[in-house]
Amino acid sequence: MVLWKSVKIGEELPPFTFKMDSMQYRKYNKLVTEVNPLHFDEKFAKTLGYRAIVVAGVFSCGFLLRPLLNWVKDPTAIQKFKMHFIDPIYIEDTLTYHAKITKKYQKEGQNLVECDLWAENQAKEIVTTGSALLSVPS
Amino acid sequence: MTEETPLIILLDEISKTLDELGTIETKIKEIDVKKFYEITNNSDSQYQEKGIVSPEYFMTLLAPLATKIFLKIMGQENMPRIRGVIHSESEVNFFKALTYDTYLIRSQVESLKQKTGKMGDYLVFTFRLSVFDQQEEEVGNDIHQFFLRVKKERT
Repeated sequence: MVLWKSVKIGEELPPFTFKMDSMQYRKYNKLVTEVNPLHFDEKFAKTLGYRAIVVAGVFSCGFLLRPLLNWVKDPTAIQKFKMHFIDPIYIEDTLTYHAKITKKYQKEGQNLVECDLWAENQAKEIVTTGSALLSVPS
Repeated sequence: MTEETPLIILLDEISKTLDELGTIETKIKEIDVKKFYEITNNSDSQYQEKGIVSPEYFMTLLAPLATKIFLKIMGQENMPRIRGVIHSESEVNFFKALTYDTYLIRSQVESLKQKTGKMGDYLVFTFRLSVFDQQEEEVGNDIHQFFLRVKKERT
């Protein structure tokens, strides 16, 4: 578990890489009973101007937390996270999720840490950005 | 959307529909969470020992309800024909850890705006899903913003 004194502003956490595998994504669609054809019908996605099936934000953005969770090793530490979807994430894309510590401060008895989050595809294009607020023990 | 269709009527319709949906009960099932971990290459050891569910699962838990809301709003009388739906941004607030329990979910419209961009007219729809435990304490909430691309009406 990460302690407050060991948190370093500017530190970039080890990234997490995940391939949006079509078989696995099909299983996910089944799990959430996906109905938006943009997420399972390539033909439909192309009629909207996309090059392939677009991966749903609820699936792809969960991974933004992975570098933080792997680092902090306490799933209850995360208080808030925000994400902004810049460009579509397509099926079979490989995403690398990054996190960087930007701020640390104490408020109302809590040790708070702010982080910037972002995801890059295989072409090194940033497709999602975000931020998170964590609370860590002393 | 035509200029004659005031957005406020549509917003009112959507708000009423969400009110009618009321509180939805959902149980976090271990089998679903295990499937989620498997799909997302997530080792569940750090969660298993604490009896809690990964925060990564939060939006997945709410996804079927978000879908249900979408189907409802698409059926509104004053909803223009929608060409496509794009999830543009989200904010998630965690107040307590999720466990394998039954939760109460309530939805609420935050805003509905009409805009015009490079790809034509679209609606910006923002709604909130709030998750409460059986003691009515808020466990977390999820605020989603979607762009609804409006299909051009043929004249």
